[in-house]
Amino acid sequence: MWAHDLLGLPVDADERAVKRAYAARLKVTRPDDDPAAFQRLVEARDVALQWARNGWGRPDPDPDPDDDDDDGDAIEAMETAAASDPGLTPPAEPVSHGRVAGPPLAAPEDDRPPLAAPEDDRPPLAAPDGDRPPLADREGARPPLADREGARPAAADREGGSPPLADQKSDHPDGRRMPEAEGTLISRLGDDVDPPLPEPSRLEDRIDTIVLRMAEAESPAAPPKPSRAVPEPAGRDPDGDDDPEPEFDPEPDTSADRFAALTAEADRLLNDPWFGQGGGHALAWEALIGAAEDLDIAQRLAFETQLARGFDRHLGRGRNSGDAAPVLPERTRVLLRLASEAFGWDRDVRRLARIVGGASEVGPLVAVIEALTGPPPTPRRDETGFPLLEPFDLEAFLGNLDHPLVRYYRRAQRAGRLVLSFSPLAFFLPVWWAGRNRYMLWAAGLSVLLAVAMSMAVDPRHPGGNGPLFIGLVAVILAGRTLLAANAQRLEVLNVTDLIETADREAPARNDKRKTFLAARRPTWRLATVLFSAVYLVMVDIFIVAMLIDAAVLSEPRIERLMPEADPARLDTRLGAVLWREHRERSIANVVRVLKELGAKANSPADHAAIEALRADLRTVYPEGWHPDYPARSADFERRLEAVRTSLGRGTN
Amino acid sequence: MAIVGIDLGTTNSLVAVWTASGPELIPNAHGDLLTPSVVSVVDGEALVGRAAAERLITRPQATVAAFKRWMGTDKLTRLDGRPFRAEELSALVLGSLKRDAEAHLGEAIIEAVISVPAYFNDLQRKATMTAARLAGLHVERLVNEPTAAALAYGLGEVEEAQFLVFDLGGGTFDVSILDKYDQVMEVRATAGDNYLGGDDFRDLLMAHLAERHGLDRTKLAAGDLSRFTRFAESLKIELSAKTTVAYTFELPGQVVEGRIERSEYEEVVRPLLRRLRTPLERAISDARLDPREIAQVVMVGGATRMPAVRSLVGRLFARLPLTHLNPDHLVALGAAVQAGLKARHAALDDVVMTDVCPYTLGIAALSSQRGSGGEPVTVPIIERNSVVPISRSHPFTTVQDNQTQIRLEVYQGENLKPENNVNLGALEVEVTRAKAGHETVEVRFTYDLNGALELEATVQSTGKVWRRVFQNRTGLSDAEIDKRFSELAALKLPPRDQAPNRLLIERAERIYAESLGERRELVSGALREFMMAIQDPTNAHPDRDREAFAKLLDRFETDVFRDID
Repeated sequence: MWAHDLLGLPVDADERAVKRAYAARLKVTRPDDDPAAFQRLVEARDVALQWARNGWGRPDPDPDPDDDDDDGDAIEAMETAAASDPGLTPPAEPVSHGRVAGPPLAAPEDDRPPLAAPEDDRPPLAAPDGDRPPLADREGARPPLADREGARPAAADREGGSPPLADQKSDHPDGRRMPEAEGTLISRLGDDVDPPLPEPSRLEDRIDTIVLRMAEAESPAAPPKPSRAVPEPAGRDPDGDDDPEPEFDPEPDTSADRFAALTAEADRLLNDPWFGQGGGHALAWEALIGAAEDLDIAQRLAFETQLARGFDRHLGRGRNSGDAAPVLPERTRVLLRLASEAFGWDRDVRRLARIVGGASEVGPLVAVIEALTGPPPTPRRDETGFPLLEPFDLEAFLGNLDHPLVRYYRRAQRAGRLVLSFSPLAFFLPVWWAGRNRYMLWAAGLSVLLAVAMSMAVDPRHPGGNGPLFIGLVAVILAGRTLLAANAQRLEVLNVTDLIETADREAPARNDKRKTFLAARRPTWRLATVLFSAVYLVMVDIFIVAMLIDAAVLSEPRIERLMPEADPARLDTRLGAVLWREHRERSIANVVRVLKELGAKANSPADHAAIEALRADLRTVYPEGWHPDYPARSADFERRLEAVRTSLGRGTN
Repeated sequence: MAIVGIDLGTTNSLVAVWTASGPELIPNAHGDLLTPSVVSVVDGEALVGRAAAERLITRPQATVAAFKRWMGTDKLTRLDGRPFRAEELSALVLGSLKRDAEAHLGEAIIEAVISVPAYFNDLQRKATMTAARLAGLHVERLVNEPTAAALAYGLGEVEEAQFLVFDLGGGTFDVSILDKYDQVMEVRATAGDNYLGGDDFRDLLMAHLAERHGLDRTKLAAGDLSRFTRFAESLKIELSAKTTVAYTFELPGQVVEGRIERSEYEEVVRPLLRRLRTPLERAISDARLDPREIAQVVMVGGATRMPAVRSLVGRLFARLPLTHLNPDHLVALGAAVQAGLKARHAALDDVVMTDVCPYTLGIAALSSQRGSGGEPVTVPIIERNSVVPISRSHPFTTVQDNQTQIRLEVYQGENLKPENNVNLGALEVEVTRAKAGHETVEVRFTYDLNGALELEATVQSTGKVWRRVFQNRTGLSDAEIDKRFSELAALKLPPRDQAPNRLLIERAERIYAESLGERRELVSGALREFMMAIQDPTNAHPDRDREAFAKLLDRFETDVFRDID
């Protein structure tokens, strides 16, 4: 390890030794004498400290102390494990958790002792919500940071400055830093530096694929895999379906254990304040995802989602991306992220923000979010008046989606499309009427271009649209319209006289018949021309006025009045799509888990059939896109699920 | 040749020197260690310190205080018909400290270490350097105030510990976390609030009193307002010592009197106490520390004498903070230690000091991430609280086809949006025409010990290097500095041996302005006699006269404050 070489230390040097060595070298590498060497020294110190705090490089059960090799081993082992059919793995195969996950990244529970020192050094996990109220009363013992996201030192668990040893347990069940509905993707907006964060689209695609694959894997053809937590005696399978024999039970257990171990490992890493200080995000990401390869599919999905969120949180916190960030409630940040994803680009969020109005920089966005989610809850506060964090409630958010603002936004989009579908017609009509006149051809061509540009400018979802461009286009159209009106004489191209003359000039001999025809209809043509011009100009005017109204409405808070007739029942916006996707993933994962539990309990063919039927209906109930029948279908599904559950409950009794 | 350490404070300034027995404060002409940072210019004559502070009441138009808050801005203060920048006013204070030190040490002082709040940004630091230059001082090192305080505190007493310096001065608030071990003093993190200090507490108290007694502060004459400010200040100080204070304050045609409880005052300043928490939290989380790991909390700055502040810190850290007998002396002492370090004084040879840059430095660029909407964001290159000196680089690419120029706007601050950060300047880089994203520029930031930033951009395709140093951006060009230097030199300064007399005269004038009727006549009569006495060349005992006059004035002062209890 270069850092240890530079400091002249063995790789298992502890923190104290690192600091000592650093101090000694600092005496000869003064910052004002050799800045470059000094910087290298500081970096080496930081890396070595990170090693010391994580207990890396220390001799552990694995005889090979080298970190990188371990990784390789671990991944290899996992690949081997994944390659062989997990169901056929003999129970005697020593796929120990520690071995599979790799010592430096996934510490097995029983290997904890060597890690105890770093555990002590780093702040304990944040106090769980449930513990807060009693702690809030403890005057003097309350640290400033306990209720802040991103600041973990929670001496709140301890009284005064002397920590009772009993509190030092590290496996606090609620202390896990990966709540379900949280994740701060908003920090991605600024994060273009850190490689380990997977492209959001990539990750989402992946999750989507996994959801589908999962549904396939759970298809009726394959019998439900018993992934029960407690192995059951073989005698509990009276119907004799090809449920694996009892000796296969350790396999699912291993998977569950590994899932727990991996989750714990990820927690440990992400909660370690030194994690990623010397890079290593990407490595850890790859290793953890790789280690999860042979997990049960649902567990893998859950793990990857958690991991992605955890990384998001970690990077978001590590970046220190803004003064406001730590103060902004987690809920708001999640909502911001959702909103910016939903509308595709954050300009829309800002546009909405403008509509809602607000004073400070964060104000408008928060205002939008508050508007989207209903009245803001009054945050609970601690005794000094600091707001406590509220967990984000996605269900409530979904429930509030028919807010007037959202409805208006959808309606504005539809209105914009309507106006625009009208506009090409308005411009093409004269061309169709006028035949091959070149003025009109130019006008038509120009108008088509304008219409296209206008649709880009007005459709709020289209990138590149913005206010100035829109106003410019309106101005151009107005100018064109004025020009057309002013040059009404030129429009006499439609005058039959002109046509006759043209016909004469082109082929004097052959056009007699046509001339007669035209001459006979001269008064009709004239009337038609006048009518057409009038209609055409009025249409253009209507178009312009419609556009102006649209623009005016979009920029002024006259929403409520415009809203009553909007249809609240559909989630057909991008925001809806994103929310739907999240909801769907979570629901499917949840239902699959429940079905598995039920499947493990089921012992009559009727129950199995009911469960399979439920499984088969999963796709219908949760289609890829929002379906208006969803509420009804899901309620029905719930009922059936409940029925199976009660029938099973009866069966065991 | 001695290098002095100077604490250029918002309300008071001090100068100290490193001696064989440790840092030592240098008294000014009046024998005080604290020189108020007040400047008064009348008829081309500049007064600094206590004498000028007296003039805040007698000549509020010609006197200015708390100008440290304007450092780094273009704000002009008109004194005696001439506009002064904050740098020039600071230069006058520095000049006065310099003369005190020269008189005390008996040698010319040309070099100094000046302390600045750790949270001062680049512009403010540059302004401080300019002020020193205008005062004829060569300043190579600025030292952060908390660092200085920790140096003063930590050097002799602690071998190995992590401590937090809580510096609440007159106008600024700083938090620093330091780690000392094996003769290394390492700054782990700094945070702060440039606009939070004892003066804000005083102002809130003033507002509270004004509201309570129905005073409209905007309608008070400038002199009365200064008196009111002074009164609130003394009330604030009293409230630190007593739980209840009775007060009387006379205004033309109105006598304000009442009683105030400490608890009431603490209720009034609660918003400020709350603001103290944010930098504390940020520093601790930046240093990746558990509050329990902090061995000591060191309180620095006069405002930390307030019990409310102490109890806040006590509650947050669950231990008694460490308070020096004179919290306002610590920074100057530490600056002297740093001066000693600078001169590589033998006794300090083994101590190495490492510091951090207080702000994130970055450039504005379009984010490559999806969904960023084409708005520029600040891309941090040097994160705040990185150990300095530091050099970091980051690649950037063009965003448009056939782009020939890249403008690198340098920002300092924590905000994602560039417009909310401080713009330090820009560097234009020319690149060859190519498709968007095909031209890469490697941008390197180098931040040195003094907070000067060098920007170096290397165009990958051509290998051409563009450089810019953000060092000389003082707001004043060199020529301007020279011009102002000579202008300042043209200001008359009262002879140093006359300083005590000048102080008494100014003080008498202030007492005259503050009193009415009979007392006024007494003061003016005594002042006339005193002035005649000191101007009389045949006077054999001018010192005796001065003492007598001072005693008389003291009596007046005691009278004024007698009721306050």
